[in-house]
Amino acid sequence: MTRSGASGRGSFSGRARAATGRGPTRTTERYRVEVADGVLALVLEATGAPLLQGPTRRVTTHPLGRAGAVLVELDGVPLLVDFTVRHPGSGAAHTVRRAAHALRGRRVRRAFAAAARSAR
Amino acid sequence: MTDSGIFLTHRHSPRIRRHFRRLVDESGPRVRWHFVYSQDTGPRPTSRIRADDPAEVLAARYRAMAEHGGVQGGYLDTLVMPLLRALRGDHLWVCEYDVDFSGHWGEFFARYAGHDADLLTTHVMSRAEHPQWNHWQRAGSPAWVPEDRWVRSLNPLMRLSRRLVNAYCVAMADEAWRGHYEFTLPTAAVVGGLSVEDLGGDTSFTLEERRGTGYIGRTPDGKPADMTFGFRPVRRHYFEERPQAFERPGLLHHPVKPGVRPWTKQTRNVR
Repeated sequence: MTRSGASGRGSFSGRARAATGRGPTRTTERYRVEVADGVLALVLEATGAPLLQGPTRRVTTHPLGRAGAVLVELDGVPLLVDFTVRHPGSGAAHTVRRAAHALRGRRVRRAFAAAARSAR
Repeated sequence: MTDSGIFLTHRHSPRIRRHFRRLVDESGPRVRWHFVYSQDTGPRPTSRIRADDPAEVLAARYRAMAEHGGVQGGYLDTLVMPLLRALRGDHLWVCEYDVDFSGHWGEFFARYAGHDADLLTTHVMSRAEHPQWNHWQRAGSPAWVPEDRWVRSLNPLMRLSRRLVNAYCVAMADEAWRGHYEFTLPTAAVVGGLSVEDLGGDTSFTLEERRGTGYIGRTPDGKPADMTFGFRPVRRHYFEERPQAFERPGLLHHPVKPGVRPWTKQTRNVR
């Protein structure tokens, strides 16, 4: 299995929670997000089946917030894709962990955006 | 966890209210129902559910719905999905006002409580099983979806998993999906590897032990004479009002039009 966030020139594979729209919703699911050969694919993790495939030339990405969330638009249809690993919790140790996850999410998001851009 | 559901009506009347009350009372704690009144042809009904904007949740389908002139005739998904997304529960029901059950609703929902299918609905048939279905003509899917995986259904009563609600909205981001949501919903579920089962008619999607237990409807062999669930015949009274008029106990019935004009292609129930 590909490491989450792994990318090469014009390619990317990572895990994210995703849903349509621009804002948060309680109905999100885990997807494998892949960019390869000029195609963006969202594969539903629970089944391993692709649900959405679109040419990256029709895709734009906009980073959202300070962690790993990114607004993906396919032909203007908005999808909120979040590469941040999130665990509920509180306390100082949790805050440190959350900051580390946010940093990593941001890095993965950057790799994803770069792959989507260069694959166009 | 308790299921949630929406009861959807485009008419307001004391008879429809009483029908809703029976559904709520007999479902008990198993399903938490929400009354949804669709006052016009648009996808933004009156309800207490705080739903996201349909134009964002199903943006491509929303554009197609607007071009079509409203939700009637195939775009009810643009109304239903934002509502379902906002509900609690792992399983989410949709029940239109013209669906009835000739028995106790609690007994009906208990039949499916232990089953984890992502989509439970009626008349689930592949294209090969029902090649003469009218809506295949307008159907379209992304190039990577083979046409032999196309599926149709009839959804006045259905149950969706939360996972399917999410997956369906994501899949529909591709505007290559076209046509009636009775095609796009079951087909997207099938190609997404999600489980699709019939509520209890007689098709290849019906579990053997469930065959004929939910309703009598069209099968791949045609229409049986004693259909209880389909496009026609129209019943004028609910089970609660005239139980003696429902010859077959323990089955779903559709459509029941209590003082409401039946749907036709000409009127599309547009007021």
